[in-house]
Amino acid sequence: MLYIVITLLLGFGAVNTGNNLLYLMVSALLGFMAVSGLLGHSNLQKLRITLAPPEEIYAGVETLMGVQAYNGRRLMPACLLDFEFSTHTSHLSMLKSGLEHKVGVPVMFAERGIHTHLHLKVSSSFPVNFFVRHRILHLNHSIYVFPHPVPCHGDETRYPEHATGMTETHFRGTEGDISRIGNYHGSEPLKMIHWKLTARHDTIKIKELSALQQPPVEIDPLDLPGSNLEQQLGCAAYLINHLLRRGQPVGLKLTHATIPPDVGRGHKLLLLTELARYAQD
Amino acid sequence: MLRIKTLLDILCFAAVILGLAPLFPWLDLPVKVIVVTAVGAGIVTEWRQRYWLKGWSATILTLIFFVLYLTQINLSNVVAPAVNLLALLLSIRLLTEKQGRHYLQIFVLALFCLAGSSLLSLGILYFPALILMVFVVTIGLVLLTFYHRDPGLRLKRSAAMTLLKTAAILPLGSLLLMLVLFFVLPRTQYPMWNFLNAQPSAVTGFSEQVRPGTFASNAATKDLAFRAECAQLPPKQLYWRGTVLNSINGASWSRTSPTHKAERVVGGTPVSCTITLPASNKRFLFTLDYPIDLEGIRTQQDGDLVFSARRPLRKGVSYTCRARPAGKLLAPSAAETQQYLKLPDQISPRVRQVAEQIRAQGKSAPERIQLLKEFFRAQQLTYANTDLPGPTAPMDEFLFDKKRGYCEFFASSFGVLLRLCEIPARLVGGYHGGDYNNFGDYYLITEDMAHVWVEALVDGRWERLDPSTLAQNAATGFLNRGDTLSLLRRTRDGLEFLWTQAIITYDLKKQLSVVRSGSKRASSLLSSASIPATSTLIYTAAIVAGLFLFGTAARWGIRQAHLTPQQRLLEKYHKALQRRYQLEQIPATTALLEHARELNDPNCIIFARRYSAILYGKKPLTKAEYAYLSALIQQIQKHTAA
Repeated sequence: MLYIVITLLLGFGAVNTGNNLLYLMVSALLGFMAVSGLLGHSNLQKLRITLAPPEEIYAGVETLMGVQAYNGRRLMPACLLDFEFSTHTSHLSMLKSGLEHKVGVPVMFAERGIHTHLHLKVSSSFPVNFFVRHRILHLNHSIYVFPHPVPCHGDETRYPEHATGMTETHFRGTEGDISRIGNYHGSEPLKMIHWKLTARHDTIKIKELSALQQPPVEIDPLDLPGSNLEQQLGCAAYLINHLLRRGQPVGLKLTHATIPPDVGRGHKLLLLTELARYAQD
Repeated sequence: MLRIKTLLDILCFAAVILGLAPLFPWLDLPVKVIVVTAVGAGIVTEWRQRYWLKGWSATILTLIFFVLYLTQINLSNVVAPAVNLLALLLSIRLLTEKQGRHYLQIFVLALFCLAGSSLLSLGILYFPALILMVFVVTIGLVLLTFYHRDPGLRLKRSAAMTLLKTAAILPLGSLLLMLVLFFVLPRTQYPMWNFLNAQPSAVTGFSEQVRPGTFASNAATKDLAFRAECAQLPPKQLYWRGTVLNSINGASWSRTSPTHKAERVVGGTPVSCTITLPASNKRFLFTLDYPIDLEGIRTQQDGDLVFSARRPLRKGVSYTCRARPAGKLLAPSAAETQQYLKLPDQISPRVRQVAEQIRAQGKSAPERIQLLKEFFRAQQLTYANTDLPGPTAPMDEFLFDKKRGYCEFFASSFGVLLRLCEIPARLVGGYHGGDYNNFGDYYLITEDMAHVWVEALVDGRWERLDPSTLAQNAATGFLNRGDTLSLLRRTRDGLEFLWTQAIITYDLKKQLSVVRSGSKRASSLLSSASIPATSTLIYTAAIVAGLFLFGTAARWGIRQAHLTPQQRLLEKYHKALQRRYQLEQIPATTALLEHARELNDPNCIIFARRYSAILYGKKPLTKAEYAYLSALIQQIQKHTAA
């Protein structure tokens, strides 16, 4: 605004004095206005924006959404970029031409489910802080938002399998009984060395122990506490996280399908995805 | 790593220096002292981060300076107090702590200081200062945007270089556009606030009167008198006519407007000469002797071929004169010769005696002129600017005692003696010579070339006689007056000439002339293509617009021809959505129904359902269906308009 006022003032002075030196200055100011507009416009062009969402997004929980920006221009950098996702913003000072950079934008989805047709607002005050230009990008991306985890108390007593204690697995561990004797490879803890056997052999012998595992659990969300379905699903999400963190195999019993108990990150995401999609189709 | 603030500080002080330097000579002495101190102290305080002035003290100082200088402003004195005030405000800002808006204030004040200098001087130094200022301020504004975002921002050297290179696009583009906009921005014929502009100086070697003996010495200056753009001429033809002094009173020659008909110039080759006069506040218009006519300025012409402007020249002007430097000046057939024979009241006996002798020896006018020339040579007169004859009897003293003087003494004595010899005579005031500048193909005429010569009426024609050439030292003292300009001076003057021609004297008249010449060129181009050129500009515009429309239509037609009706509908639908919801390009693979639900638009949902049914073959795309879907799209668009 100040800039426009100054230009008008000098322009008025130039016309009324007929002073060509003032005309030169006004011409330069007007030229600057035009060029800064073009530069500001081009600053937001040829930007390839893709989302790199985190693997786990829970409804009602703030998380960092990765925004991958690629500057497809051959020469010009993209400057002072603001990425606005829903109400949160993240900033990138400069992205050189031909380079890619990832920034995290804090986001929070209110509801679980599959979120498609996401819009990202990219704005910039470059080159001068007189105007802020923006582009609304339509992102062709689907995001699974898992139910908001609702802690459920007393889950161990609720499920009879928990009361039976731990069972041994055929995997190697540090807590179970001795499953066999093996050779020392240099990486095993010293407490596992079998000194007596080592004394009788030329090589160092170790005790190989079996791993302990909780008994498998199959969760039926509809059997879980909660005043409505969303609370029950939230409880299920909590349990999946909680139990899998303990190494306990978890399965899911849904109305249309049953997923057998298992462990691992891929399995966890499969279960949570099923919860996100539950009753949405 | 480079701090943005460091770069910003450097540019900030550069802007201050560029704004204040052109203004500096016109500032009051105390202000000069304050400004120099403030710039020096500002750099030191910024480096040490300890500031001399706090917010409140800066405000009080600002108020004091405001009161001090605003009370000095009146209609005849606006610019000087205003620029002093601007310089002081800038100085105060340099001594305080700077945040984002303070940098902006400094840039604005520096810009105004430079603008203020344009009201005091029209020198060419303004141009480089402006170019540098555009660079500094525009790049500074870009850095300020980064600073505003994060005051502590540090950039890697490579990133800083990339940023500076990108920011440099701004000044480069701005300056290119400046050159275009300068010539097209509207101008008025008579500026209302002309009183604000730089007032012309009145220092000149050319005078409206010739009064030999008034000064004991004559200091020659190398100040510009005018420039004349023409082909190179023989040195003997370089007489620039300004005025004709036809009346003598005592020892003083002056001008009374002649009432006789205009004198005619015949013979010789006509030469066209464009003369650029700086502002002088006078009305004299100089021409190459002998002038035929003048173009490009409203003039008043007298019978003795003296041209003058209708108004005093408050700003520089440029006009074209046609002349016949080797021609002859014919007096009107019934010329009144009496006024050219009038004699001063007091003429010394020695001068009268010389005239009587010449009259007795020479019967015809040419003979008498020849005798008079011989007398001048015999006297061994010296062309000089110092130790000149006094005011009591300058002519007598010049011819018989001191025998030294400059052109006024020579011309005045020769003119009086001619009249005493019954030959009508008058003095012509103007300039003689010129330094030809090959850089711009023009003559530079400086004030030290001011000259007076004599015209004598012989056999019905005014013959030019230059008595200064009769000086014994004419070859060195008069014909080679002053030093030849150095190459540097010639180049500088060439640039100044270009500056004056292109910038300073550019006005509404030139603007119209550029439009006319452009129109003529376009007309000649069109006529060579055998197209009727009744209104060439309109034709040109129509052809360009027609080609553009044809190109666009052809492109659109080819594209549409390759699309199926379904694709056309989908394209229209996407465009409508983009307009209404300000969306970017919607990929063709986007699921229509989901997208429509996301937008929560009933029309979109209906469209998506029906279009999907057609797309997956559940329903054929009939004409009625096509029309229905098109109507839906229109409804979506109407919503946008509402």
